[in-house]
Amino acid sequence: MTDDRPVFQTMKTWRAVRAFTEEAVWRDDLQHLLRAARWAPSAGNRRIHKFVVVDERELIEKIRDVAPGMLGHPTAIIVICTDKDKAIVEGVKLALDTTTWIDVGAAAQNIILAAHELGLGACPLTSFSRAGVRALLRMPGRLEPEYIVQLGHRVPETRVMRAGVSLRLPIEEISFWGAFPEET
Amino acid sequence: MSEHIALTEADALELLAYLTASADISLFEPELYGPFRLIDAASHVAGYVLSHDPGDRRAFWEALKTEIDQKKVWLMWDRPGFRQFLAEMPGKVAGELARAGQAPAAEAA
Repeated sequence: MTDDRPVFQTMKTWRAVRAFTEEAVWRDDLQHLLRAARWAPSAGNRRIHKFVVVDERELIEKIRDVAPGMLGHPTAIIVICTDKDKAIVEGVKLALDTTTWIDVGAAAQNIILAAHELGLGACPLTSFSRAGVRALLRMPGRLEPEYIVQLGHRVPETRVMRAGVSLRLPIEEISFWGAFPEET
Repeated sequence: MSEHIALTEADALELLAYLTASADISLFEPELYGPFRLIDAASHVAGYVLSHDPGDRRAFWEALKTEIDQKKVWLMWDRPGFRQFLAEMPGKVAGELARAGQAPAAEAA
């Protein structure tokens, strides 16, 4: 069965983790995650993104205050940023070129799957105030925070759900094969 | 209802950061995230109250916060359930207001 292969198992068993223990994430593990981000595709190999790692509890809690989407208390975060100076050097038109955001997503997914493989919980986060995060991290003006990956050791969660609610859409509902029929 | 402090200035500053950040991102986030931020802010308020010992009203605040934190995430996978939860919550809070003798109708009388 294809689903038994390790990479499929990693993808299939990953869940967004929003409840974390207080146990810190090892810096070795964070280094592994940065390597995973670096392995992600980059349009035209322009590599215009930077990764800011934060593992100080108090600083993360302050960032949480300006990040309404951070529902739990992660013990580490990785902020994926666009380096606008590097973008200029590479001739990237940030206002028009959507591949830069696609690259952010690819790097984030690599981090999330690698975290799961390392036994860590992870959760994507885009619901945060860019201005707030910039101010708290004293980011240079060339960096634009785009996406945060929350990390930590998961607390087993019991989801309260109404009966009959399904979390997965059927493949048939989300996919199509070949050309669509001609409109009559 | 007791007169004890429910929110310190430090708490208020945290809440202010949360609310202003929510206002900022609500400009571009999906419409339903606005109600989500408000109900999540209600959970924050309950958390602050609980951290300052609400005494004999602890059970109400704990139950409120627990229910919000369990059901707010329905936004992600059960939108009808999320809407129903939002519709029911004000009635529960108003019931507590009435029990505390603070309901607008009681004040008017």
